[in-house]
Amino acid sequence: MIDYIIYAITIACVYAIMGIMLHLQFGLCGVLNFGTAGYFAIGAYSVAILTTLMGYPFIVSVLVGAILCAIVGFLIGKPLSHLSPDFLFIVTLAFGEIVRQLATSEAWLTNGVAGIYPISNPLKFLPFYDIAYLFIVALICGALIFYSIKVRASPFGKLLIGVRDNPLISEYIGKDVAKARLTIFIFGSMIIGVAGSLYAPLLGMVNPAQFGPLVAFVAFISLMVGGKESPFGSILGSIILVFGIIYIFDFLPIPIIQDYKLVFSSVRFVVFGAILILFLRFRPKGLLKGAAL
Amino acid sequence: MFIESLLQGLMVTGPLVIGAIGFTLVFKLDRVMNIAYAEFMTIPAYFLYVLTTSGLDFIPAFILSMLAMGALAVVLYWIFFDGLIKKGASIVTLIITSVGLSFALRYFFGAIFTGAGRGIPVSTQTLFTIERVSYTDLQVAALVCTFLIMFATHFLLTRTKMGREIRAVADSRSLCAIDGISAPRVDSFVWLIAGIFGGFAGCLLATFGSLNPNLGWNTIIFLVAIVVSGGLGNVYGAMVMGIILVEVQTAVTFFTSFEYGNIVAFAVLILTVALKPKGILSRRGKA
Repeated sequence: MIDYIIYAITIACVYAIMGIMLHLQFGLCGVLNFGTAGYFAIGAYSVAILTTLMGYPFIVSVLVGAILCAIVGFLIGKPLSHLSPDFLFIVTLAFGEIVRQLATSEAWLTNGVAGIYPISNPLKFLPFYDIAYLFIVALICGALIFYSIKVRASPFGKLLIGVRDNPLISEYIGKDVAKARLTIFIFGSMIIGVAGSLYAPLLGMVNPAQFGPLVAFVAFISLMVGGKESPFGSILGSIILVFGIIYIFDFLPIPIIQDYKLVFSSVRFVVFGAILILFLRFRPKGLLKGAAL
Repeated sequence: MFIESLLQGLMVTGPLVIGAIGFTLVFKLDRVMNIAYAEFMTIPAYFLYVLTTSGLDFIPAFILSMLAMGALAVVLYWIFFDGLIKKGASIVTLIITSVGLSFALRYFFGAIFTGAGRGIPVSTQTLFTIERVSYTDLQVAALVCTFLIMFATHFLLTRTKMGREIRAVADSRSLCAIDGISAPRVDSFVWLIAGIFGGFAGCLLATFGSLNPNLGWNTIIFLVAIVVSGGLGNVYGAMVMGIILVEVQTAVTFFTSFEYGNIVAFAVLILTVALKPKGILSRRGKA
């Protein structure tokens, strides 16, 4: 039981890392990235391929994954950085799906639908390695929150907010709007890749089915519920989502008839969708409002 | 080999082209990039499944499912989108709402119809066979219907009062209000048409292939590639790019494997957005 709670907290932290990046991209700069599943998959697969299949150390594979994500982020973000956010949304959404299909079709590299396993925890040699791993993930999460608070207070943060609220005026006063969007897009892509790398040893395996549209959807809804303009919003959102909805059926002492387990797992996503729509309508900034400019 | 691929492609253009037109009409009118359109294809396919398995003939069941989806689309518009559009919500808010709606609907149907893919019971007759691939009366009928719907859409937009009103509301809602054009009526009509077109697409996709809750979602990326490369809001662009992209996808699938067809569509999407964000039919200097 306690192992399971630690596992769930670690998952929540991984989702929070993604959420903080979405906060920087979407909350501050208005860049609507729905391709998180794609970067997440690239990060996770680099760990799986480089450590499990080729025997490189964990940290090397995380770095390789991050660099790959940054390159892909540049290639996708460059043509889109001067267009309106709906184009970016569509292309990143399609990108997430394409990565999953490539992971399925390129079986020589990714072992296709079966996926790659086992991915051992890099801290396996320690006595309480799962707590140590949680500690490291939480530390990265905390560092990123600290960083996002700093960014918001910095001149670059002001530029990002300017780009979000009025790109035209930002352009008029001589700011490079496209460059600001591209910078935050590449940085976010890279860190989401790292989140994917951290996610892989938690599950112990990777396969294409893990990186469906739900990854992007869950990350996004935790951002919207927690508060897209607050650096702590995604933490709050992830905890609410992971404990309140995703794992609730495993914790509740009510007996769930086995036949209905599948139905329940579908029903919670219906609830997700409903929550998202209700929040957009009645509390568009989420639970935490974030500091005034 | 090549002719065969072209012919096979032509047979499956129907659902995607008509779906793309429905998606485009909604975007043209309301600037909603409606991701929930995926479900506008899945839901009628389930209607069709329920109706045909409970004993109704295929064609009446098909028409009923289309009409039911049209009505449902209007209801969904009034519940979820109308308030937001009236409040002047941003494009981004509308997109995210449609994504939430899409997920909620998909998993709702996933909860009801759990399990593997289902087939629509329909009996078809082989009309002709070329190179060991046979073409059925259903495929040919679908193709004929597709072209009829394309002409009907053209006629609707250019020759009827409703078509003029649709274009007017798309241009300026406030001017229409002054002129006495009822925007709510136009909204309802366009979402009805979009739902019916989605129904046509979804029912055909389910009949040609198999039916599962991800039917629409697996198609929407390709649909969006068609719509964006044809120029967002450009109905004729959607028609042209629909036919071209489906042909290309079929050819790629024919010679390699299914996944690469979608990857080519994605490449086309990225390239259009990078080089001609207003679509391939756009001319320089023309919005």
